[in-house]
Amino acid sequence: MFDINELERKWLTYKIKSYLPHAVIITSTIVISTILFTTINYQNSKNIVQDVNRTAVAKDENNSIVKAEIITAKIVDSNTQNNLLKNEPKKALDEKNEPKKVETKVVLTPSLSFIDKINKSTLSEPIRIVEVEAPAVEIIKEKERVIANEETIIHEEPKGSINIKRQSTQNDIEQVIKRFKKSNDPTLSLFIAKSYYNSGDYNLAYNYALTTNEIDSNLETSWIIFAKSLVKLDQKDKAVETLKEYIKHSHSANAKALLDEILSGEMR
Amino acid sequence: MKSNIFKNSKNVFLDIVNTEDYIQIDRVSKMYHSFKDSVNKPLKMLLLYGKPGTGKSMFLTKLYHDLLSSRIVYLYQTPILDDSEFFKTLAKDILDVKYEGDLNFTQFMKILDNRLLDYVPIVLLDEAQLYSNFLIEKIRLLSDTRKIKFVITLHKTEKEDLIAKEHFQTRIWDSIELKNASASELKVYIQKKLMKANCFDSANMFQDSSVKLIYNLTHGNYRDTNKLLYILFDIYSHYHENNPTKINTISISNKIIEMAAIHTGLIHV
Repeated sequence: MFDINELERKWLTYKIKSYLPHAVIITSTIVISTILFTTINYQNSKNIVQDVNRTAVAKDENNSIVKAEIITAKIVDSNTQNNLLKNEPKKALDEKNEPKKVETKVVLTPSLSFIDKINKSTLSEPIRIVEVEAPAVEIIKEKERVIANEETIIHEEPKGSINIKRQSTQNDIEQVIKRFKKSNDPTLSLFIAKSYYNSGDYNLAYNYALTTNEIDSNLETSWIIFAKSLVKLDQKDKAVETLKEYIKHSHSANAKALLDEILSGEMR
Repeated sequence: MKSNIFKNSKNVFLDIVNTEDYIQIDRVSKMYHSFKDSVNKPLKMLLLYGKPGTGKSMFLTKLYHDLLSSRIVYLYQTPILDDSEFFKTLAKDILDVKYEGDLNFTQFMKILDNRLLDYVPIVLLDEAQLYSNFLIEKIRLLSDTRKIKFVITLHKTEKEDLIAKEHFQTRIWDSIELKNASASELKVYIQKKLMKANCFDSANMFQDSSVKLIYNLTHGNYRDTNKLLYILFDIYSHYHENNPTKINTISISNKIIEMAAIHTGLIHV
């Protein structure tokens, strides 16, 4: 005979014992999975925060400094953390055409310091503000905003003449000269020529206008600055000769106007 | 379902050797007929071996009853361990000689030689592994005379294999190893056994899953299965009488199988 209650108790003990290893395995698996999941999530969020906080500084050919602020970013792959955008459109496109696992868009907008910089410096080359979004679909939208070549404030003089006042500083010119030496970009040398001309350094203006012309003889402004500098250096004849030569093959209206001014004596 | 059905079912699995209740599954049935044919051949000795609980005793008993009608056959289910008693029993049963005092092998052989038997008596010895090595050697010599044919059963263990090799290798002309039942054979065995006792309702309660659990616990050993099912139906009977809501009569509960296994020692808690 048997004691049914004792037998049931033994059976319960047996079942608990038989399920115990399974329960331990399942619980361990759940705990390990949770820890792993939490750790991975934490790592991902850490990466995202790092990426969000990352300031992407890109320099274009003109060495314009663009400080990018990431407005919204949710980046899955850490490979995408370096979304430093070169402002050269083609280069930027090439970079963005490379497959990158980025889930959400990264929008770069100019920082206040960038705006400040633009306001302070009168750059001859247009500054492009690049806005790139949705790398996941690998579409890059680039907006190019051309900022006026010369940030100028125009004041009308009582005499009716136009006086141009520049806001550039000597430091700006030095920086641009450094950049020009590196890149040999005619737009930079032209900018320097104009700066020097405006500040009354006609020798230097002459030299940079000539340098610009040697690099790219089609830049109308280089001819005009060159001619103006000659006038200011008391070489009016040479200026006239140069302008005539230029007008022959370019038929430039501006050059003609300047020539008229020189010949009429308005340009001294 | 009435409570006496569980009680009847319980009694079906009482571990007793009764040829009336003997259930032969197909595989064993074929082996049985093959072995039975071998008995009729002029062979000195036949060996039936297997692990405990594989049905050797039942097999031998069934053979005894089947041969009884056609042959002179003697069955010794309980080993006679004393040499003199063994030969005196044989002399009395086979030769109809009631010997007073001790009877040794030599004396028995003389009596046997003096008797002209026109038949070869068949002696069935169960549990032969319990005989001493000396007695086994004498049985071997006795079988060499071809005047008595021996059919012996042995538990198959390493030691018993050795005995078989040393004493019977050259004399045994036929041997059969009985093995545990497979899961499907076990189901047939359980259901046939119950149906033979008209316990159809309880026979139908054995689904494949419950038989599989029983097989996992008993490994198809008939003796263990009988013990397990005896207790199983005892528990069912108890619940039926005292707490019928705890059981269903559609299928055998795994819980009760496990409880029975705990009680019989097949599961250690």
